[in-house]
Amino acid sequence: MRTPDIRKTVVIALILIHLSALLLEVAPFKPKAYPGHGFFAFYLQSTALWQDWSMFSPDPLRLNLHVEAKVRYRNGRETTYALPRLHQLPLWERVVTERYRKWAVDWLRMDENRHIWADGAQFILREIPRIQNNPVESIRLFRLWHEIEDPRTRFREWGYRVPDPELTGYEFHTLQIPDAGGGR
Amino acid sequence: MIRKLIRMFDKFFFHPIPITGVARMRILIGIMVLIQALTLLPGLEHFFGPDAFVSTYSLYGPDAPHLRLIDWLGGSNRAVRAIFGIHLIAAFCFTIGCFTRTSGIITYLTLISIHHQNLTILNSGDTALRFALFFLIWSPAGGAWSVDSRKKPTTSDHAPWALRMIQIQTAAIYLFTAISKLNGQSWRDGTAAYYATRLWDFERFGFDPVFNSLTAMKWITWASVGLELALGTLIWIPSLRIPLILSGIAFHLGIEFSMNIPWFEWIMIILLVGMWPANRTFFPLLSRRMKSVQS
Repeated sequence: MRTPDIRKTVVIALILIHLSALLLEVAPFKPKAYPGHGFFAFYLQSTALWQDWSMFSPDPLRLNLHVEAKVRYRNGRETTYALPRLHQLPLWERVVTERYRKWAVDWLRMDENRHIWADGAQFILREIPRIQNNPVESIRLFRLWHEIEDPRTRFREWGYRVPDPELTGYEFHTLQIPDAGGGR
Repeated sequence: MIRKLIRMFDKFFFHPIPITGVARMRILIGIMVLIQALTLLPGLEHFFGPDAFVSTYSLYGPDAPHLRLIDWLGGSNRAVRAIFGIHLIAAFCFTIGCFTRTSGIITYLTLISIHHQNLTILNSGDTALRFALFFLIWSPAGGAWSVDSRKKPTTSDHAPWALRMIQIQTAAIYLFTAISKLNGQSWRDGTAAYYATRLWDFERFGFDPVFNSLTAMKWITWASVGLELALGTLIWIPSLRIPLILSGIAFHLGIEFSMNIPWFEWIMIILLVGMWPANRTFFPLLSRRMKSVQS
């Protein structure tokens, strides 16, 4: 007789903890008096049930953006390494490649994620083809974007594009390769 | 009053319902876990290996508190492949209901290890899969339509608290998203759908008469938030539940048609299917035909 009662008590405790965590840690209307990052945050983290439901909210992004790298070789040659831009890929490849977009656009380009910029540049360094006697000297990461105008002032047709030279660009990280000059 | 509330709580979470609802969720969520894992395979080493585009150290610093089986096995590409192999086998077993509880726990542990290894590639669909799987492993999900139930038949009813938690989570997604959107200017002025459909990387198929009309875009914006609010609240009213589930499924199919947000819409459709009332058959025609065959 005892076992089912204990089991039910544990289940009720889990239900109450989870519902409280949803209301206090996840809900957009969480009480202002609640300090946060307490037991319920620990519960969500330790069970891997952390969550954030903010897709296209509070407003959808108004930027079409991507990240690319300018790779400079010792002889002065410069090439561009563009991280995948989904709209340029066939439909099926977009499904598989979406994870790269997520990393590049939602994480890598953000100023608050500067702690992962060096890893991103090192990744690109590993990906680009090696040229004998002409090592890579630097990798510069750029974010490039086009701001979608307010449709009431300028309505863009569905599927519109802006040529790359018209995109706004900003260099946000440079990786200097120390042994490019000496080849040691 | 308090007694009445306790009785309602008890009835909602523990009054037995047919086991087929949770078994259906096991199969559908299991299939989605498998699909998600298979679509990660082409980029496995870029996402999780020692040469991944972000290291766990850079992500978390020295005190990463998370379960990361890949790192615990040395973090090599071999470790990545091993954890993925175990994950795929466990997810397959869970889907067909073979050693359901054990395979479910292994699927969950490997899934969160994979997710902890690289947070930067995760999306809302991954989050939804985690909570659905978490609650399914507590439920008798292998009690029907499974290898386990063929070996050892179980009772046809169960206390549905785990399924109820998935339902509450599902309603919470809609409610929280809708409230968050109501704080956004573009959702209030009706231009949000316009902006969302102009994001190049999310484009799939267009429908010119609608997508190129600002009036239509405004109605779509407001209808989306209205439907999300209803799915987060009114879905608990029994007479509204089925119409809302069907509207929600149509809404997600519409987004799936027009936008490239891999698998999220399908996962949400599965979660809506999980809201289907226990006393109403999900496939009425099929069920009627089966009854006539039996008689």
